[in-house]
Amino acid sequence: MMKAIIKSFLLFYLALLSIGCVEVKTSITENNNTVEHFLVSSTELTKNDVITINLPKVRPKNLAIIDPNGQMFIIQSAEADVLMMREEEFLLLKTLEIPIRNSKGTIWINGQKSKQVIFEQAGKYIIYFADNLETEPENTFNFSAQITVK
Amino acid sequence: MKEHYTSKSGVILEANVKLKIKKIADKYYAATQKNIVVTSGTRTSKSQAEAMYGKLAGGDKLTVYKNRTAAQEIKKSYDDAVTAKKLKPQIIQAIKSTLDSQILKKVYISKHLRKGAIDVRSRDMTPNEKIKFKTASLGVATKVILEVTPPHFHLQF
Repeated sequence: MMKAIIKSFLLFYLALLSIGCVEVKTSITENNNTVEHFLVSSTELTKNDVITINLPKVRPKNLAIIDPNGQMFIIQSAEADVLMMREEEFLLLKTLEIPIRNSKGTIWINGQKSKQVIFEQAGKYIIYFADNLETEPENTFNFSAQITVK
Repeated sequence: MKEHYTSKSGVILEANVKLKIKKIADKYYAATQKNIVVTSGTRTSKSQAEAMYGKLAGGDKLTVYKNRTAAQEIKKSYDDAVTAKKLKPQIIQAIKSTLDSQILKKVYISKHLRKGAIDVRSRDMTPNEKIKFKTASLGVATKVILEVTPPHFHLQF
């Protein structure tokens, strides 16, 4: 059981490791509309820093952060009743800033919903935007990037 | 009789899969007095194409997909369509065509393109309830996997 859990997390983590800082290409023009790219501006951060995320026009509707232990903290998900802002605002955001210090996300401990501080330890975290936070990344519209908190 | 399962909006379930979910949900309810939530079902190649279009348009290189060859074929169909200055619906159609030809060869970029694949919410289950869910699925699903990140049960019928 434990082996399967570790294997599952490692596979997910390895897949995302290959992403690193999402590419910094210039925006592309499509149907005469400028489409911005998903970009996390800095991938090495300290406790006093802020994560800055540029969002494309079409983006997933939920946001979570996965800590170095594979724990997923939900930041924005109307369906889970976890909202950092109204859904309409979230879908129009151009840039999202998340401070490392004291940012909280929702997790379930023994089936109970609980709000907890996310960046409790140094290590690699994954910023994960997805339309569905309860399926494999292959099965949902998503963007992800890895950051390191020192 | 009251159903002991609900589905997230937009989830597609075939009739025979619904019957199997009902069986599992009834057993699980009898053991825990709790209902289950189906978070994903069978995916059409069109909705997969739309999701992949969104990723590619947002600058993603599809590195998250385990089948790199299949992912790169899809990226190529997107790149070719963009170079040919095709419009969004035509680009999605080009991706869908690639996905359809992969499916014909039994290559599935997502497990959910295969019939009979579903996901069930696990995050609100206690460790004991997770065991009870697995027990309830025995003999009904051919495969039950507890995925940790993102958390959910993946079932194959």
